[in-house]
Amino acid sequence: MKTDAIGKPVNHQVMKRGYILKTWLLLLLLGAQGWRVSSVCGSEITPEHAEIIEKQIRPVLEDSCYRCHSAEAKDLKGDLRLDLLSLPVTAKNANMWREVIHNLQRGDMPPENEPQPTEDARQGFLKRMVPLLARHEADARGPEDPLMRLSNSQLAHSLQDLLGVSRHVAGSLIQDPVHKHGFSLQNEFAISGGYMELYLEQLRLAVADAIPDLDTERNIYQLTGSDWEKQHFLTTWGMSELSRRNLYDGPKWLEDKFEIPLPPKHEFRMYVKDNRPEGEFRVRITVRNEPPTDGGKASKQELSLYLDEGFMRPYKRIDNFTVPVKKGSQQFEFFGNVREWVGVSLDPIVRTPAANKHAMRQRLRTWRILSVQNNNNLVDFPQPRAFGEPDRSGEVYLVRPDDIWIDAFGKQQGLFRSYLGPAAAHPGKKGTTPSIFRDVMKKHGHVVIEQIEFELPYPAGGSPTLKQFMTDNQLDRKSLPAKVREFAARAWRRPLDKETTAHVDKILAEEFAAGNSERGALRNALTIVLSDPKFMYISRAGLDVRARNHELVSRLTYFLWNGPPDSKLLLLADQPKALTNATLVREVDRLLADPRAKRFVENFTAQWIGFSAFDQIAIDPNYYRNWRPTTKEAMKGECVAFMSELLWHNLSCLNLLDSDFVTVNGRLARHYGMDGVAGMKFSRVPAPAGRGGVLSQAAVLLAYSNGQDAHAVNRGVWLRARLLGDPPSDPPPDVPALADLPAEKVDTFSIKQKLEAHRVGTCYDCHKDIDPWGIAMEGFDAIGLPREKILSIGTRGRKQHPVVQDVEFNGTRINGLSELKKHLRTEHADEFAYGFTSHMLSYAIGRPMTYRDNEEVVRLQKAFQEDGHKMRTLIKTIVTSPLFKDSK
Amino acid sequence: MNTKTGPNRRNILCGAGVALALPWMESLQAAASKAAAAAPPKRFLAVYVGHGFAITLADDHPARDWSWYPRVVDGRMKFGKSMAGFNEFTDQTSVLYGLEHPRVIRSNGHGTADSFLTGSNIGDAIKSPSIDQVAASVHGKKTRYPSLVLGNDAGLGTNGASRTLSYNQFGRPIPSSNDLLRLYNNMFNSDPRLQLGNKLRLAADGRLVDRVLESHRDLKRKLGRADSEKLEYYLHSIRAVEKDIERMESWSDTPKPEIDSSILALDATVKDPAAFIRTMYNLIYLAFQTDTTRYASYMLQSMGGGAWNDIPATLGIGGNHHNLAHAGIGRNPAGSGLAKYDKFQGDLLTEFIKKLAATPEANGTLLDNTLVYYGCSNSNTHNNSNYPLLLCGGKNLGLKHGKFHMLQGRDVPLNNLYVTLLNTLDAPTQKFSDSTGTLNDVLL
Repeated sequence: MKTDAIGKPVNHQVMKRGYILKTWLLLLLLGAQGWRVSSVCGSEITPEHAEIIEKQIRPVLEDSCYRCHSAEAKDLKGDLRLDLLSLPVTAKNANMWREVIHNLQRGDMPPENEPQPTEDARQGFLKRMVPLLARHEADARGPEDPLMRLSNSQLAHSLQDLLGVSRHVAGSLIQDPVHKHGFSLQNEFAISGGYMELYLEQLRLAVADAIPDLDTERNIYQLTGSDWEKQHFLTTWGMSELSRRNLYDGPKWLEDKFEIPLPPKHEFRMYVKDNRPEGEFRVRITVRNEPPTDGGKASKQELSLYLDEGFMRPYKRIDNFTVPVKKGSQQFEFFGNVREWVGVSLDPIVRTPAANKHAMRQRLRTWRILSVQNNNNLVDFPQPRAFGEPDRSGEVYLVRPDDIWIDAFGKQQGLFRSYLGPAAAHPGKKGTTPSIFRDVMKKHGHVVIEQIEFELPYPAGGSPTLKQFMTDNQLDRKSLPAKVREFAARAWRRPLDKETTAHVDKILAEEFAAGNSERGALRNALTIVLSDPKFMYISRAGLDVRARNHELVSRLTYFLWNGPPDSKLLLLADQPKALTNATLVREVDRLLADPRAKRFVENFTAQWIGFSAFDQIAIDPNYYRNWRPTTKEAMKGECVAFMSELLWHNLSCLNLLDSDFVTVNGRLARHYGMDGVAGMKFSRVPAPAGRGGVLSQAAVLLAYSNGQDAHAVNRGVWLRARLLGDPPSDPPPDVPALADLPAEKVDTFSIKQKLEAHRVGTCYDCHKDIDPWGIAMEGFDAIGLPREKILSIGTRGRKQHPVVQDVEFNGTRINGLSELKKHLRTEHADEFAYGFTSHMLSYAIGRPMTYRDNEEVVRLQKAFQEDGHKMRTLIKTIVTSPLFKDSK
Repeated sequence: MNTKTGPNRRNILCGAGVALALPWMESLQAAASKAAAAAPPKRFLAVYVGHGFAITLADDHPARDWSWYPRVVDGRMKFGKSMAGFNEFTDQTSVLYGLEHPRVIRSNGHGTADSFLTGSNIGDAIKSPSIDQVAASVHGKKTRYPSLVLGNDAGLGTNGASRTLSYNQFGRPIPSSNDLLRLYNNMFNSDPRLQLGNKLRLAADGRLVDRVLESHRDLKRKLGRADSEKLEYYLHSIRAVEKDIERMESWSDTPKPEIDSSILALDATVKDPAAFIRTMYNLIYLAFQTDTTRYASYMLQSMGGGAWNDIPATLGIGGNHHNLAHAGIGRNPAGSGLAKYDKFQGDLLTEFIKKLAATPEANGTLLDNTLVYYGCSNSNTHNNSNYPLLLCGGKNLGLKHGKFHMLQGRDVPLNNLYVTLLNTLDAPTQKFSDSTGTLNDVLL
């Protein structure tokens, strides 16, 4: 590969990128006095500088730049006076020097049609200037701030790990800033009074979850065994009523045993009359995997568990789980915090019956639904419509018409008949919705639910976190201090010295002195410990050798788990010589094998793809009539699953450019028009035509659209930043609006033609190297589906334009996304490796990359490439790199 | 406010269902303080609807009667069906057309709620403080709560899908609240157990502040010569928390005003939107009347697709607000879904206005001393210009009402209006965010 003066890969043949200068940079040339050897800003020009200037800098500038960029220029281009540049590099001229260097390196300046400097002259110039600039940047940075605040997500996960709770507080905190080119900005995360107040509020709630109030009776809502027979049906508010029991077509067939069959594409709901908005919960479900009743083999069943507040169709998932083919009962447990399920979006499809609307709403306001769904596909089975909805076979789960409502104080006070049931006034429907589950079970393997338990709050009085503070099942004033100290050492990620020990003891003592009970004092003490800067901040540079090790392992786990180090790592850190590179590498494997490593993949993917941009785009339903916003979750899932696949299976990251596989679930497969994938879980399948790599992942295509149409410029910028490691410069401020195109042209121009209208003046210099990347993707719309025509809806109504997606890069023609992906994989693998290395390193150390890091980035890039572009290798080399260990 | 004198106020009703609150003026007379001679305070409420209203200005449009914009007949505004309640108050109302925040014209249509009260670009890391917070920075100390930040979809939301209208002096979003019970408890509940609980919590907070400050000093010392800017930010943030504790402690001995809470449906939820919104307006009303606060911002729904996006279905109109807004005013003289939704909100707002108008104060009515600002940051959805805006009340602030102002020719930022409003609210300023002047000639 061709490299430039400092080893950064450069491929001049393929793309000539634009040059644009920020006009405001000129303001930096305050007091510049022209090209004199006298000083600027008071610093002396050394004889060494003077020699450099004479021999290698000035000639190049004179020959190649002054023609257009000096006082003598006939036509001063870009309002830029390079004859005002001088040495040394200072804060005032550093940006200017950087631009000059970049443009020379890329060969963008001087422009093609002007005389070029000789190769020697160019190399000489760069060899001198680049280190001068790097040195300035290193000096200008000053001493690195030794502290860095944990991100919202890291704070949230830390609380989960340390307190043993499910509550995730990140969504309630002021959002962390996001870098538009996907780098980490963690070193800039600040804190404010407002932030602190929100954090404290959430922290108190989490601590209350972990250390609940005085023991209350356990509140388990249960549906089990022969309770069924004791339950009788009541009808309320006078709806047309025969005893439900006679109409019920369900478990009765199993005689007296309460068991709920749940065949594929069916859903069972348990209504819990408890709508408190706070509290940890536990669900335990006991099921059996059964073969088809007509004979045949059993099969593994993919189930999902949902929880919702209200009487609308259950919406938010707790988890997916697989019931393998095994004999006998199998039990599954799930935990969560109901706060995550409060206020979840209501399904607008369900209609309320006209009669007694208000009364019903009063009652139903207090219900919560736990829903189990069987996601397996129906094979050779025509699916009847449900509730008058348009046929969305495969998407709509058939709700059993005999939903069971349980008055969930655990007593069998009575069942309220589901208003969705057979005789309910359902608009447009008469008679019953057929109960088909028996027929389905004849031909399909299914599960049978033996018992469901829903416990809220969990654990009432028996919190495992609380237990760790107890002695003989009691909170004991004498032994509490030692236990709180133990907690503080874990929370602050370091052993306590004499001062911090005394400090922790004082915290607890003051709480008792204020008259608190043991429980109250413990809660307050934990809150104080978790508000301490030793918890909220992570160190970037060691204070002493022993502390350095603890800080290093903290950085390690916050990198790969988004959470605090476990006891094994803390013990390792206690031994001064233990953290060798070999140990670190081994630990990487151990950490990646832990379930917490999922958070790393999720967070890195969110940053790299740009989920915050994705979340903000609202798809216009006028353009996409069949669009369902719930598909968005599946789109994000695809990106995370893809990245996971690369990591867990040690695949080459070049697959991000183009791959022969995709990772989809049932919902996304349907969106893409693929067969053969069902269920909510993501799995790796061969890529259909046109798919593969990240560029055809719907999340990328949607995030860099405008909700109505693709956005070629945004997509081009994303590609440059993430896949080529070369983010374009920002547009200069005060870009004037394009003169309006003539009306008849607006309607007929393709996006390519419209963007070519950018070819005025300096806009073109940058846009010629951004737009084509995006134009090659025009064959995919804003929801990631292929198209041959582009829809536009204006005052003149709906119009269709043909897609134009062929572009040319210096002699190479590329027509459409598939060719683009191939081109990237064959011609730009080096730049991709550089870029991906930068992004991962940035994520690990919490700041964007600068010029100074370049050498190290290139070293890591080489190791990454030499080992087949494996992410695990990259992580290991990062973790042993001085940039991470010394974290400057 | 002060203790009871005279008859037991719980037994007195004033007006149909109007809350029984200790009127501002009476309480001060009871206290016989010098302040009693002063004029009643000036209040401000900003109410926001997202996505857009059903609008047309074409008088021959088949659905003109359902347009949010009034007709002008003989120089007077005549509101259509969705805003009919305002016909009673046309001489205290102004409607504005043609203004917008220039910095967000080209933003995604769904991202403009963030900047409604600030005018800042969504891409800015730090925004301008919002108009209500600027006013609160001047007079907020005089009341128990400097301001109320309310939103049916509560919280912060995200950048570009904000759930709050208010940004503090540092340009950071202030999370909005939809917790009716908590608002009531904070402002009006004098239950001694609650008071005690608050006192204990404030004391615990005070101890927390002391301990972490000690820890901070210790950490700073350990860092030695290595300076940490982050640690400085931490110190400032803890000090801000400390100041807030002090403020709340200073108010904890002042009794809360007595009100009749029977008109508040504190357990209302999104499933009964009318009851919920009505309760929210009642809380604002009571807060203003008892001078518990003078400034409030209320976001009726966020544009990030929260639960309140779906209330048209609950209301029987069908669909969700986002989709209704895309369908717009339609051409049906019976009114489109969006128009019916506008009526739902308009009716609840005018109920609130009526309450203000029926409440006497020393120099007129509570409405005369309250500026109500109602509007949206899209004209049609995704079109971030010509915001439909309405001002009602505030006669004693000097505002001259009664007209429908067409301001599209002026080409000035919307924040020019905010400069004028701030000055009428006695928060004098020459500039606010990206303002270039004022609209004094239009409104004063």
